[in-house]
Amino acid sequence: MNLSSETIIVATAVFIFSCGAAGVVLRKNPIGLLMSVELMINAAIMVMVLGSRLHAQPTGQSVALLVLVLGAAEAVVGLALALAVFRRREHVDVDEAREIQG
Amino acid sequence: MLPLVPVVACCALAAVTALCVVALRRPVYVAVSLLGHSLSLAGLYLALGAQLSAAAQTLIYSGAIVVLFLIVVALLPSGGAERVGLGRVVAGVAVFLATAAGLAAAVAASGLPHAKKDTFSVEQVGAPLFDELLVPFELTAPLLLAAIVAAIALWRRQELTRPADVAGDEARP
Repeated sequence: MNLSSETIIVATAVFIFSCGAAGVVLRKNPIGLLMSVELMINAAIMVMVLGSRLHAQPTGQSVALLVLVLGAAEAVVGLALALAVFRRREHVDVDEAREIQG
Repeated sequence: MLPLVPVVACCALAAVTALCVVALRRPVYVAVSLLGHSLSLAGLYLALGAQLSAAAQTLIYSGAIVVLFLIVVALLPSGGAERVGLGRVVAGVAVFLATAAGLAAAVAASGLPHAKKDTFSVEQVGAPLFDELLVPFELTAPLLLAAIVAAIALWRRQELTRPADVAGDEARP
């Protein structure tokens, strides 16, 4: 198998996305969980930037910018939720929050 | 062809720091790992000739999001050590293997072309945002506004549930 730079980057993106997916299952701390989601978003952005270079199309980088903004919005709302739910609790565990009240 | 040495160095650093984000227990260490991950990805984008993406990654991820995570780490209670049972570890490893196998099969089926020589200027990257990506680009403004309003609303509701604040509100005319 020819190990080119493109193959290495895609393999790394697959590894990072899988790490993020495993982290979402593994972590109990809401901050660790949100960071795992950020890992998955980063892996997706990485593939978009690589695709932009491979196919000589600037649209990939433009979409990557939009996804970056999406990741920022997700982090803001997720962290506000984590603060609202867990600030008054002794144990920070996502499994403990079973009820949501409007 | 892409430069091999910087690409391998940045990819190795990104993979190791991603593993640290999942494996380390203390939230501050995890945030620092995420910072290293983000910076190594910015280096990778520079190696790919995507300077605008590298700058955006550094400013938005390393600058804004990681700092936001650190502020929340400081505000949340420590919660003690995060105890992860064996069942959860097995589930995590299973998800890792399943995701990696699925994505690797998809990549192997599609095949990878070699990179062309072109790199893009900021003007070329920005042009699609005002052409075929105009609607998603405009939608990011209400998305960010909704995120800000949601964050403030969630925080204010929690602040108002404190006894001193509730008493203060009732005392007000």
